Amino acid sequence: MSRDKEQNTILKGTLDVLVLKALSSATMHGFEVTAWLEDQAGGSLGLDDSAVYQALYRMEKRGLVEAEWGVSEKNRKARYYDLTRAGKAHLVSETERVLRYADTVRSILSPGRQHAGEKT
Amino acid sequence: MKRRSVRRWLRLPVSDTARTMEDVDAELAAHIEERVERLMAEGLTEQQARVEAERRLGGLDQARQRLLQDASERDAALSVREALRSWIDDVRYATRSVFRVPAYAAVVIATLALGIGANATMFGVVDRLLLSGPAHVVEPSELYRFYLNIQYDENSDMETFAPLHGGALMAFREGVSSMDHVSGYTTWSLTLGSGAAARPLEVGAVSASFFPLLDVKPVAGRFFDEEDEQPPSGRRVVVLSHRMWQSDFGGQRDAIGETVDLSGHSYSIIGVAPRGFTGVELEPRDAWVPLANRPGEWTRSWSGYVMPIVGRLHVDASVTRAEAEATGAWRRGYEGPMATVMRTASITLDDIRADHCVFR
Repeated sequence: MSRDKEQNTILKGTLDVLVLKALSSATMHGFEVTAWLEDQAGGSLGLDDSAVYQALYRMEKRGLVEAEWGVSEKNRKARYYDLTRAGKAHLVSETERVLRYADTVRSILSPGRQHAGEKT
Repeated sequence: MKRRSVRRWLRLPVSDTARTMEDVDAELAAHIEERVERLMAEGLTEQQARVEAERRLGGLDQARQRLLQDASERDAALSVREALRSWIDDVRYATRSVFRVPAYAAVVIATLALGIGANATMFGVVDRLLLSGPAHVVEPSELYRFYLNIQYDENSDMETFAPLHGGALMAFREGVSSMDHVSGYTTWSLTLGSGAAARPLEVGAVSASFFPLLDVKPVAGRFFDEEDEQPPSGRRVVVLSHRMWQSDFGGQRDAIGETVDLSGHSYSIIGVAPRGFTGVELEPRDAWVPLANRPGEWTRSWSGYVMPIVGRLHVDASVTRAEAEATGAWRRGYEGPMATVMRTASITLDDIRADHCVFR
């Protein structure tokens, strides 16, 4: 449980951008987003499912996504989410930021490497 | 119910926690159904699947709590946004409708412009007349005009006069200790220059204490002092208005000390008043000269010439006391005709902004 919580805090900042990425491929309802993330990650993300919904609600409040009740292909009532224009822009800038951060961390942590002026 | 419909009518955000809760429950239920279906497809029984689904959520109740919090904030923000959007749409629609008929739009704009312009002008006038007082005059609320109140006989009404004799000016200066810089001012028409280039000027002939009374500061040079009004006719010195300084002397500082011909007398320019300054009244003036320059007994007489007299009330004095002092000074000092009646007259004071003297 505590390991999940650790991963929870690391991923919280990036969960938003991952959710936006999911929605950039298609309009989805909450479970579809969760399933997409699981499939992409090749298994469990180590997060509670409810975290995904929290991310969706927060981004809806900020105007990055918009939602509408609809009917799924299984004829069930479902709340569908879509990116707004602001959301698309946010996805682009956040992706850049996160990837840059990941590269920096990787290069610092990789063993046996010169760190000054060396490029991959 | 009634409260909510009032808020709807005013297009205020209608927060509805019950509806938010319904939405959250519905979304959670849908999620659980999908998860259960998936898990059953992987081989779990329905009961096992449900337990697992709730576990993955992080516990149904805990999930509900967390989501309710975020959903409430979301719905509040959304309804504000929606209200704002509908206002903007209304404005857009109205604007489009108006401009669909350009002639109508033109009339609307013209009407608004006239109305706003008229209002602004009116306010400007009222402000200058009644509230702010004349330009560059410090604390106009402390400035009072002297009024004579007299009843000629028991059959006539009480009459009130503002312009008073030069003798009164002297009497008030000496006898009213509650007021400072008691001054008189008159309008004098003079001619600038001679021959074909001559031009008429509207000049203020004022007591030397006039400028200290109003506490206005010169833009260049100086204003009058007591020596400028020494009898018999004072010094021939002139203070230019800002406008005249700009138009006739190009706003140059070396205008100070130059001389000008005013109705045959050679006047020395000693100073320039600030832009927009017109004295106590609001009519523009070209320049100011000492009152003593005027021929005739302006500053001492108890008959003939009259002029408005104004003074500044001490901060800790009362109008009533000043009026009593002024009445006493008038009655003791009066030496003009109809002395019996005149000596029963009383002097009252009123804010300079309450009345505007337009006279020569």
